[in-house]
Amino acid sequence: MKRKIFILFFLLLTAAGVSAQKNDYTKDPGYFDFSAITSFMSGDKGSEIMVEEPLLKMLAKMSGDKDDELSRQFSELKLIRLNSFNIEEKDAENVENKIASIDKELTAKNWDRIVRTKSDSEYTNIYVKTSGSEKFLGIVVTSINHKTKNVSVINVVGSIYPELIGKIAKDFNLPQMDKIKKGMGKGK
Amino acid sequence: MNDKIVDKIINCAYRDAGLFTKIQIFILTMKDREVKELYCKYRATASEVRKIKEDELPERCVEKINENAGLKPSKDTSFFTDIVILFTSKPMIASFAAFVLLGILITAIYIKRPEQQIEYSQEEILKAGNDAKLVFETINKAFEKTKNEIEEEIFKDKIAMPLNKSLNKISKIISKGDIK
Repeated sequence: MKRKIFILFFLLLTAAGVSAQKNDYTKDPGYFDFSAITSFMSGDKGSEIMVEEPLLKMLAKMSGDKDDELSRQFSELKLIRLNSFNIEEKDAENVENKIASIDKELTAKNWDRIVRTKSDSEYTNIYVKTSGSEKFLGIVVTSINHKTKNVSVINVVGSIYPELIGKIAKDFNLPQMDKIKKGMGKGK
Repeated sequence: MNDKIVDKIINCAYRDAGLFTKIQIFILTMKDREVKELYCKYRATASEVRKIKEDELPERCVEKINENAGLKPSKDTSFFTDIVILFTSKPMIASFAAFVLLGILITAIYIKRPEQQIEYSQEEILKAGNDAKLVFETINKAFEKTKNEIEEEIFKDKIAMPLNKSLNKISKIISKGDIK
């Protein structure tokens, strides 16, 4: 009897686990955990953007009427995350080391570094996780500016069509956005 | 009275005996008073035993009794067999309960899910749209910066200049050829 109860309990837990995994993007190959670097954020001197799957699906629905490509892109994304923050002078070297270790970790996990720019004061790396097809499974951007003492990290999780990155950056504008903007301007 | 006869009396009393044994003991009880008394005694005990209701013993007790009796434990069934047994074993009411429980769980997970969808305000959607655009702008900016660097510096130094030199040489060769 005890065994039967155990099996039933096991089945229930498994079903619940499968259900919980549905929204768990941390298991996605395109996900990267930045907690090691965001721990250097001091006080409130930072900003975070976190757009998760339900909101991205909503954006996909709303942009569907205007542009099918953008709608498809948003529907296949699972997470958009950006952390931007200033660091203390004393932490600069540690953060640089951390970014270097992230670089090693990502390349060890078969991420491809496709961009590495070094200007006088700014270092930026862009990594992509590929699946063999034209789509990316994830994008990671790490950037540190020594002049402004600003660090930015980005992670986009989900299927990403490279040709649509520029399109979203330049052309993405929900028709409803204008209405909302106007509404907000009236003090609603 | 030998042991064989006693065994047969017990079997008859507990209704485990075959027809032939039953007839044999019936005849003996008619003939022998001692056999009849013993049969009545066992019959009364059997009747009392039958009155005892069945009760499930804890598994530990069953295991201990089997151990003391020198009985080997039954072979452990596989996990998947256990799952099948869970839904097919008797009493059927237990299997039915297991089905119902699993049904409720599946319903709760898959059918009720849409009702639990979070509703977002227009402001939240607008913010999400702007945030998403900002992130893609940042990524695109980094790509464009790289593209410009490649075009301006690498292409100029590594490709355009040698290409120009080569083209100059070719045009010189061609013009020389024309002269000849």
